[in-house]
Amino acid sequence: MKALSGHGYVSACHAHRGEMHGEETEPTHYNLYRQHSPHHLDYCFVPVGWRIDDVVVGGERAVGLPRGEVAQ
Amino acid sequence: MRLLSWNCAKALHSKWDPVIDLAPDILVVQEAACPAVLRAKGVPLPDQAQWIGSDKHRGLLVAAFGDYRLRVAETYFPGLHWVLPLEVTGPEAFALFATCDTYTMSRQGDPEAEASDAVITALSRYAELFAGGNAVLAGDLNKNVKFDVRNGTRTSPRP
Repeated sequence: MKALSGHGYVSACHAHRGEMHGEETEPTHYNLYRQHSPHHLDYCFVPVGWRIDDVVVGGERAVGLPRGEVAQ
Repeated sequence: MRLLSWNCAKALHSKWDPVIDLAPDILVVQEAACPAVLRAKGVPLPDQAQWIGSDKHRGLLVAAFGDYRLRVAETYFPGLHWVLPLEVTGPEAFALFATCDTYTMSRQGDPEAEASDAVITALSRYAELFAGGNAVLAGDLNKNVKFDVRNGTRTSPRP
C-alpha cells in the first residue's frame, strides 16, 4: 500500500469511503469460505486525482453466490 | 467507466450472469479459466479478452465491453505472471494492471519476482507506465496491512 501510495495511487475503496487500510468495514473475501473469517484483500488502485463516483463491494449479493465468494 | 474485479474461484462459467448484471466496462477475474474453456462451457465472452496463466482452469482474465479495447502492453514481462499490463482504449484510455498475487511467481522469470511480491516488482518493472499518472491496478492482492502489523512480514491470512 505504501509503495503504491508513493507512486501517487490510492485504493478507490478506501479513498471513496475515507477508511484506513486495515480498518475496512466490508470484507472482500472470506478465508476458506468461513463467514467468521472476513478479510479485505481485493483492491482497485487509481491515480490520486481521479474522480471516484462509487465503490461497491459484493456484500450480500455476492455472498449469495456459490460458496460465498465476495466481489469488489 | 465501471471496473469490476472478482476472484471467481474457478467457477466463472456458473457465475457469469450475475457478473454481467453488474454491467462492467472492464472485467478483471482472478482464478478464471482460459477463454477457450469458458466459451466451450457456453460463456459468451466478448471479443476483447486477454488471459494469462499456466493452468487453463485457473488464470487471470481481463475482458472489455462496449467501445473499450484491450491490448497487452509492449513492455509485458511474462516472467511476472500475475501482473498483466494492458493498454485500455475507448471512452477512457489508461494503463491497466490486472493482478492476482497468489505467490505463484514464475521460477523462470525475473529474479526480483521471487525476492519480492508481484505488485512491488511490477512497480519497478513497469515504472514508466505507472509514472504516467494514468494507470489502474486492480485485483486480488491477497494482502492487508493488518497482517503486516500482526505478523511482521506475512501479508496473507493463509498459513
